[in-house]
Amino acid sequence: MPKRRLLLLSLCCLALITGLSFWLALSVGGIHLGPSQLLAALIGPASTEQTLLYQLRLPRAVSAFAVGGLLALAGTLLQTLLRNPLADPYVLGISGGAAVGALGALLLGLGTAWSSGSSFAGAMLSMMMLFALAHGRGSWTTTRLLLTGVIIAAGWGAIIKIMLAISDNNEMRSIVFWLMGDLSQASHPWLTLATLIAGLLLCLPLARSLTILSHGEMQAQALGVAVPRLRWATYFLTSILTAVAVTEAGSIGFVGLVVPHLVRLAIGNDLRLLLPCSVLLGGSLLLLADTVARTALAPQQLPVGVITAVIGVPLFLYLLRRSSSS
Amino acid sequence: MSLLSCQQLQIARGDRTLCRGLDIRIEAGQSWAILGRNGIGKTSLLTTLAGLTPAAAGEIHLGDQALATLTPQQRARQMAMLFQHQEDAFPGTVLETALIGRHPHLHAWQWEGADDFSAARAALARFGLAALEQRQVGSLSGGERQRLALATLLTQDASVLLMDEPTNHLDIHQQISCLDFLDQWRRQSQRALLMTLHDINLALRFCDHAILMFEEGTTLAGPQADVMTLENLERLFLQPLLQVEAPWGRAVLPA
Repeated sequence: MPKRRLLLLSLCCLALITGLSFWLALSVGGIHLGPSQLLAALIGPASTEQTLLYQLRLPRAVSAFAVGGLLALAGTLLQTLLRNPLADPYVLGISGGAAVGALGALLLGLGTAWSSGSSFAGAMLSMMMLFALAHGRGSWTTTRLLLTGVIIAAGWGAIIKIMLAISDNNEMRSIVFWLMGDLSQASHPWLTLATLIAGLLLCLPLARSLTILSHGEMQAQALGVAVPRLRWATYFLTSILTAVAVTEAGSIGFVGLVVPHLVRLAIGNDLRLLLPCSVLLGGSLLLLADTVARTALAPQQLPVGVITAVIGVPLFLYLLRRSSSS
Repeated sequence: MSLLSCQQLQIARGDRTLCRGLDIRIEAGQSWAILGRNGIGKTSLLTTLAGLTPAAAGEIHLGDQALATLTPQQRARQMAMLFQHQEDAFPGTVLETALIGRHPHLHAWQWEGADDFSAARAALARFGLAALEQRQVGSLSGGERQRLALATLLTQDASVLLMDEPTNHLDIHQQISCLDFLDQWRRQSQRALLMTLHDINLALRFCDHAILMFEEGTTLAGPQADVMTLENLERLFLQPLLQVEAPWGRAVLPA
């Protein structure tokens, strides 16, 4: 069937883009590695370049790709669940909740496991508040949803500022960088990648049901979708994906907004195609953004969240304008 | 055995009782109308019978099974519902939209096969949409979108069809041709239809049974000739009516 051919074709294109992004990310930096040097460092005998590659560039590249994929997947799920193309974990304050959770655990001196757990709790709490407040008894309008999300995000922002104000100043700079979205402190590349793969595999069997959910909850129920169960599964997954991304790299905005939108423009809204393609494109996009962030003003490193905001803000405004005019 | 039945059905919204003590048995090949004034609870009756909103009391059976014991997928294989408004948050093509009707017949990892595509294409052709199959849903007119919703309903291939205002947005020719097709189809393939209609004359022409919904949750249900009498209809709509003879049977005009 043509749809499966389209999926295969898109995945091939995106795999190529992913490969190129990795190649670029591993090549450029303080020491530039040409194709032959890169190959030698990857599979050749031990060398300084090899250490550089396996200790620094590859883990960071894997982190960037995995975080981008997680955010794109979370954004796709959130947009589908809210039936709104402007939904994004960052804009709606889900990342903010996760950041407060992770930062709280950090300031209390608790370990990584605690900070992931409390980050998940923060994301889930944000999600519950968003759905309870924005849904209410009234209608499901874009204005109401976005306002609720922005206010929740502002609330988390205020809590973060209080935490920063009362913490001691030694780590201030690194915490502020992390809050802006920064991959230089990313420490669990493979765990993050494993979460991404597991998350995608869990979403795929739900993909057709999720596509149908975009026609409305009642319609989906009438077509045999167990909507309450699907909704809870998606809340839960989106919260975990966002929490893991935030714990690894802080609050990086707009990847979850931009990526599903671009993929939808190219191949339509069938979630069976949209989910895997968003993961690959989100991963590549963040990997490229991070490569720019660490090389543009080298040796000074920019937080990657700044780069994604530069791409994301204009697109968000464009989408908002288009949705209000139609 | 009836395809859809309810016993002592009661529906409440807030402190209003929309319907109490309703007993109906809808048999294969029958077509039922739900009539009543605006806001009386016709849609709530449909969504309750569809198993989408809870009943305050009473039992609903789909075939010989209690509706509450079926999984959503089992239910959707036997009963389909057309809504008054269609929501397209991320609209796709006309063909893609019709194909969502196949959802209850596919398992989680399964993709639509050749049979599903031909079912969807046949349904689109029935409602005059064959040429629009690759059009984006957002570009359709109101009437075309409504016919697409009807085609999606048909693609679901259920034995019980619940329809909330199936003639919404349709011009007079499309109203008759769509209802004519559904009428022949339910007789030939022994399906059951239950629809809310604003137009009494469409109900008189295309439905052999009716449920009248009065104020305070009182209902009257049964064969058209017994239930849709001139007096009952006048009492139902609080409007004096005039009965005239048409080639296909009775028709009424506001007096």
